[in-house]
Amino acid sequence: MRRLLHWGALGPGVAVVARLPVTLLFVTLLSITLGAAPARASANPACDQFRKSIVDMEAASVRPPGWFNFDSYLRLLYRSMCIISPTRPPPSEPEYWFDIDGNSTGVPATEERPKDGAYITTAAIGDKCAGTKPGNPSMCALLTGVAAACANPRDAQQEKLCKLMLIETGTVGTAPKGDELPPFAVGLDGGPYELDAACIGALTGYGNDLALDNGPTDNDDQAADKRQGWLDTLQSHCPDFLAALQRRTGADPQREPAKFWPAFGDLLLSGFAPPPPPDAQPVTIASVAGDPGFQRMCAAADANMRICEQRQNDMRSIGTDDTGVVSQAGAFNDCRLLYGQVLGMCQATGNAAQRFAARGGAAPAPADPMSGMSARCQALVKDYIAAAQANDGQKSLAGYDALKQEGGCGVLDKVGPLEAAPAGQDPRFVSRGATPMLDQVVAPCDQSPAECAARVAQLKAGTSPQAEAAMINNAISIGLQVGALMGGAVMMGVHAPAGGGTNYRSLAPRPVRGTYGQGSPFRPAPRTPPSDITGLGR
Amino acid sequence: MIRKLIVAAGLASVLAALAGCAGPPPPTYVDAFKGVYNTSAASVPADQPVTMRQPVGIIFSQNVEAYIGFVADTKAYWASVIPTTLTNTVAVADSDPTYFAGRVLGVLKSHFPDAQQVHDFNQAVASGKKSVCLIDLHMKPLEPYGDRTTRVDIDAYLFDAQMNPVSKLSGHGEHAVPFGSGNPGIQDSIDQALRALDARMAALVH
Repeated sequence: MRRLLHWGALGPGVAVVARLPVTLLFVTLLSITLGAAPARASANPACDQFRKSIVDMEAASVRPPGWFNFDSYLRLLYRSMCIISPTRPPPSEPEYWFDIDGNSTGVPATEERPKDGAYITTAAIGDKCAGTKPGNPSMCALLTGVAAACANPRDAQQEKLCKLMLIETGTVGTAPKGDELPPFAVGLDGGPYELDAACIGALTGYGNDLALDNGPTDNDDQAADKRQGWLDTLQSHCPDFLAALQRRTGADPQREPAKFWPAFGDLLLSGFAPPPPPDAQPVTIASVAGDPGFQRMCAAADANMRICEQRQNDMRSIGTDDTGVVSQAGAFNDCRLLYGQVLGMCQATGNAAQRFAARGGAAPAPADPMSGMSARCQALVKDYIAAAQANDGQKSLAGYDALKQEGGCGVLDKVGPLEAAPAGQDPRFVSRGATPMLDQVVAPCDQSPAECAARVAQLKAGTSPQAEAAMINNAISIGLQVGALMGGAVMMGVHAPAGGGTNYRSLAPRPVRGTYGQGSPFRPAPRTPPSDITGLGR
Repeated sequence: MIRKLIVAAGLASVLAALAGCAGPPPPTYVDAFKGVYNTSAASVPADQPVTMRQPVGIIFSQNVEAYIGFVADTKAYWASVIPTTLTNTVAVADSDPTYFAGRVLGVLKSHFPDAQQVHDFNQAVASGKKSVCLIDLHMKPLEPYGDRTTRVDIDAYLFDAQMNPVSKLSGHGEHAVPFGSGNPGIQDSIDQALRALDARMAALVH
């Protein structure tokens, strides 16, 4: 049987160490994205390690609710970081703490700051700057380090920052790409089966529905209706895999849904592991959610996501706006998102376990909603579902009304109001708040395209050269009118009323009198007979 | 009357108002997926060929919501300080967000005839949408005493049937506004951006 999750100590932005027997390898993945990958002889060792971790996880881990979403995220992240835009790994030269006088403490930078630790740099730079006394070794180390980094920038962002600081840069080197990930495959009876996106989508949907809810108040109650859709997808896109599922579960999904779906769920949860020994404890949602390692992982993911979010919010880089998704803030954003994905899986698993426990731990078979219905009700329900699946709004509404008139046929009371959007269990989705502006502007355009097109044409005409000329003429006309009024007032010698009141000049010193040296040099000197200064004169 | 004269002489300030020179501050743009999807939009690869299963749901980002709010606030602010007779009707028409909404929906529905706007991904899934196109907008208004160019970037993030973002298609438009012009060129910039986006969709979306 596959083991559950084992996590070691981990902290945001630091190296992560974990015990990785045959289980989920989240921790290694985190260590990759946080730049703490072990060095390996390869073109891009970090990507190689990342890729290996994903492949190992897909081959060996249990798959609780949310796992497929997490796996999809990692595949997307790998594609982004290692295929589309790979970046060169950080320099591997070790760094150490130095004291304020430029002496190495001998403590590696990866360890806690020693009491006399003032700055971090490599041994080479530290040695070079240690001889700058009575200068500033730390400043020397900083500038030397920046110059070295700028001489060989890792990416365009770093190059941009260097240029902003007016530091000469070398060319951005091309980072080697990682190998493409292998297709998603499932090892099962007669397999492995390589699954396409549609089949993975069906597994993702069912993987989030392992509690097999059918209750009227559960958010997943619509999932029961989707099972037929998942079967159709598997049948049309990966029939061999579906046949293997039927062989392994020993059940036909159409004729024995009560047997097929729970058995399929157990298989999916176990990661399609081989049949366990008879005396082995089966893997259940409850056993995964209650596993101490899983709980430690979830707690650490929660704490670290919050820390990364806080650091992202506190971090700004030159040339970035408040989005904080590039450079150092971007690194913390990546960290936040990654831990958030882990946390999303934890929450999905916890929720499923709670629902499962609320039913006494028994996974009920999907009830046949048609059983006990009259023929008319069955026809109405079928029409309603067909209209909804065809996304035909009018027919759906008509079907809903017909069902309502028939008293609901025992099904309408089990679903929410017609317009209610069920809360999604998918951890990737954010339940969005109100969008009053979009509702005012975009929604009417979506609902009435013809009226919207007419309004667009009207707005286009409102910016035509003719409209602009008319607007400017209007402004000029008003300006001329106002100017004429003002001009007439001046010509008539009418002054604006002074307003009366205090003459504030009386509070000021006497005006400076025109004396020699105080006026313009182009003016003749004022006459002062007799002289105020010498007393001479006539 | 004197006040009217001052206002008339400062017609450019009306344009500036709608362009964000004064009045309410322009929106601070955020990650395109913020408040909608728990991933950074920055990780989505650009210009990837993609097959979109229909019906398609259309989601407008928080940046679009913020932009429409900014236009509404700006219009209301200047309506309170500028006489109606001196309102720059050209700028008001140019910046009306209905133009953006109508043109974007028009382009998207030319590719996905059954597409509908949805509030979020939960609604998209609940209403049976097989894929999603998330529209993001960054609009840099002209600066009357600085960069007198209006710039518009429209990004379409395409989500496959598993609601994973698989491709980002972008369109850019800009309009240099001459001194004395009453038209900030937002419509022109939107048209340019959508032409580019439309061409990319025609080439890459199936």
